[in-house]
Amino acid sequence: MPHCVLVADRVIQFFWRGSDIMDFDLPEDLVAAREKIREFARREITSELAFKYDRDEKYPFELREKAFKEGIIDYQNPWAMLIAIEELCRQDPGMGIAATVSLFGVEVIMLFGSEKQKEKYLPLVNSGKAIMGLAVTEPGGGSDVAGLKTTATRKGDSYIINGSKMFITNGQIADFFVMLTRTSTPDSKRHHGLSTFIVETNRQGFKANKLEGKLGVRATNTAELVLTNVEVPAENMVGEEGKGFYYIMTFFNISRIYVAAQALGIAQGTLDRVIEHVHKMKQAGEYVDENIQFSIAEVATRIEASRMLTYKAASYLFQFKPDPKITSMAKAYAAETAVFASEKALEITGISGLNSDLERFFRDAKIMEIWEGTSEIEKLIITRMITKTEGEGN
Amino acid sequence: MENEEYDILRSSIREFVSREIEGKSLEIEKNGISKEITRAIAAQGFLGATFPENMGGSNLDMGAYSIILQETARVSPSLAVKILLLNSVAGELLKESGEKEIAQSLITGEDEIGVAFSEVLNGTHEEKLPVKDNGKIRGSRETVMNSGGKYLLTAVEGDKNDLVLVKDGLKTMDVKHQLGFRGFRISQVSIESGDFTEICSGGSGRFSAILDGIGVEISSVALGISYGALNKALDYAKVRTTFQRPLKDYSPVSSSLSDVLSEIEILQNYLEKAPEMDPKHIMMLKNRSLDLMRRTTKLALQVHGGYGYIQDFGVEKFYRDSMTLSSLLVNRQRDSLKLAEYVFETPSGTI
Ligand SMILES: Cc1cc2nc3c(=O)[nH]c(=O)nc-3n(C[C@H](O)[C@H](O)[C@H](O)COP(=O)(O)OP(=O)(O)OC[C@H]3O[C@@H](n4cnc5c(N)ncnc54)[C@H](O)[C@@H]3O)c2cc1C
Repeated sequence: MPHCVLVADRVIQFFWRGSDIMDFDLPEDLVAAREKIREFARREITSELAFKYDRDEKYPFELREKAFKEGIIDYQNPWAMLIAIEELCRQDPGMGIAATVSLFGVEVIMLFGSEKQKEKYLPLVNSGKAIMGLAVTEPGGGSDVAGLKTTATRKGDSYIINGSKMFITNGQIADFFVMLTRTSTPDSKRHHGLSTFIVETNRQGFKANKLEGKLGVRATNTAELVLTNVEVPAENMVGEEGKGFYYIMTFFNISRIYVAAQALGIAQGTLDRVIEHVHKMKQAGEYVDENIQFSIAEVATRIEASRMLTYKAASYLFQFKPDPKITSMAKAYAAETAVFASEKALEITGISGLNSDLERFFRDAKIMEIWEGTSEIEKLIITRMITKTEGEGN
Repeated sequence: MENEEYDILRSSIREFVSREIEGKSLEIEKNGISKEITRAIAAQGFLGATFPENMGGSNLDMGAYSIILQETARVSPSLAVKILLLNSVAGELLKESGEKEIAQSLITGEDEIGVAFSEVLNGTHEEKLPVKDNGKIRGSRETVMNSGGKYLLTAVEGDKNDLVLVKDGLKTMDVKHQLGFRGFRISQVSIESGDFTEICSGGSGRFSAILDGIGVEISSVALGISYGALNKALDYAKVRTTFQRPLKDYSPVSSSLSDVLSEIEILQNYLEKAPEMDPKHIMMLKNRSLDLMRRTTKLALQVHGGYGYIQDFGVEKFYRDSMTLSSLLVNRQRDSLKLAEYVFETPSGTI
């Protein structure tokens, strides 16, 4: 046998291990779901509408309603939900996120809430009848969750909450929040003594001040929450007292995968538009030089890598064995890809990009590197997980 | 001017900008540059910085003009670019036209002039230029910078591709997308039967030549923006604490900020010598200043975390403006071809 054939045979034997082969394609039902969502996104999120909601900083209630009605938002089906986030953000990040973020924080109740809380709150948000949010960040800090200052003090059968929360998505439009508070002074560990509550927004002493003038994702509603002696019944505490930090970190390991999907959608959306632009350049007889070709290849490769990481993180999570290292890698990498893609898109398209959706994508993309763990915090987590599990580093 | 005089000029402009502009910079982003601010900078001579004295200008040299652009860009890139558009783009052409009265009305801030040269930038394939029709100009321009005023400079369709000063018949459309320089309008303008003065033939080529010749000005704005954004981040890193330590104590924060400050200072020194430089080195300066500006503004926003994403903190505008500057006043592709030609001394990088 000639040498090269022998080598090829060995290579095949090495990789070909029968049933161990990985399947990188989505199953048929998800391919069909993607098609349906894409059709919905194209129909309901036009450039004109996206422009309007961005300009007016208005929440797209109608889109959210339709998305529920047509089964586009379905948290019972996590894979379909992931793809819905990706596809809606691909059409427009602001509207896409706004429409899919109305259950933000629900996993905290699903995983750690009492049966009574689940019965009371989950049907409301799952059906789209209520909007919720998650309130962790405070004016004094977001990355340093354990440094929060909002207090919940026991008084009979209630807790009295005082403090403020910053940059809270759905701040003005939510019916209730899952809120992280301090219930006792910390011992040697700062993250001890934190507890989570469900706080309804119609309670006395609750105030939401809309934050206007965001760089991007302006169709989402963001507010500062001020809580002055807000009384919540003790039964509104989610899970056990003092375990709030752990619940929120568990939640972030879920939600970061959905953020990675948002970022993936943004990156893909910019690439779609760049490809359209390149077609126009060719039609106009303009030359697409190798610098442009390299940029497109680089963006497309990063998108593919982000998708692999995101789906891998999701696959672990949906099989109930989440891997925080892969999750943080997916979130950080997809976020950086979204920003990179949006910058390259404007570089390639120049003035026509500035006069198009791409201008908005550029502004929207940057939030990906900030919310739910900045890129810097994700990197610290990745190294912490690697050094913890693989015994390297310091 | 001597070095010492430049230093004095810089500190007096910095003092003026911090006293008169800084507190209004957010207002500029939200509602545009007010008449009051325009008059204040006109009174300082910024609007007529490079216009000849017989037109009411200050006839400043490039060193002094560059300082005006840097110092205003640190606080309000919109304001700096407005000054640049009037002096380096419109001014160049008005000087030729001999339209003394119009020049004076612009220098004093009484009237405004829009400029339209998108046909010489990257990414335009379809835009039709206005036409001359029975002694009038008709048509429209997609991307007019500083639109909404009385006058417009544009090239027109035709064999001679004249560059004209349109004096009336302008209708400014609503702003659609405007990523940056929100202190002035960038929008479509339609021209309905406008009177005009012819300035020169080969209008689009003339605009190209003007853009090619403003490397020092662009670098000045880019470095001003970089300083403005970086200073905010440096201040913030000293006072913001996470995990009970100021941000400056974290090595990725301190090293990335120190690195860009080093680059800015090196380029700043280079910029000060720019008025005497040859086109090749000016192109190199411009290329590096634009790249540094983009990286610095992104970093500054990131260091601010969530606050960087909100207009009130005055950082996000630098991020938007830096991308806008790189697309609206620079033809990246043409610049990279030029730079390659300087480097290889023969046309290069065309494939
Ligand atoms: C539009 C928007 C919506 C949001 N929605 C929500 C919401 O619904 N609920 C909610 O709870 N929060 C929300 N957030 C808050 C968001 O999660 C925080 O902004 C984010 O976690 C960062 O926190 P921070 O803004 O306090 O920045 P900081 O924590 O102050 O960080 C500032 C900078 O320092 C860096 N840094 C911090 N520590 C370190 C370190 N140890 N090493 C190196 N670098 C470090 C950060 O990466 C960042 O670049 C939202 C924010 C925005 C802008």
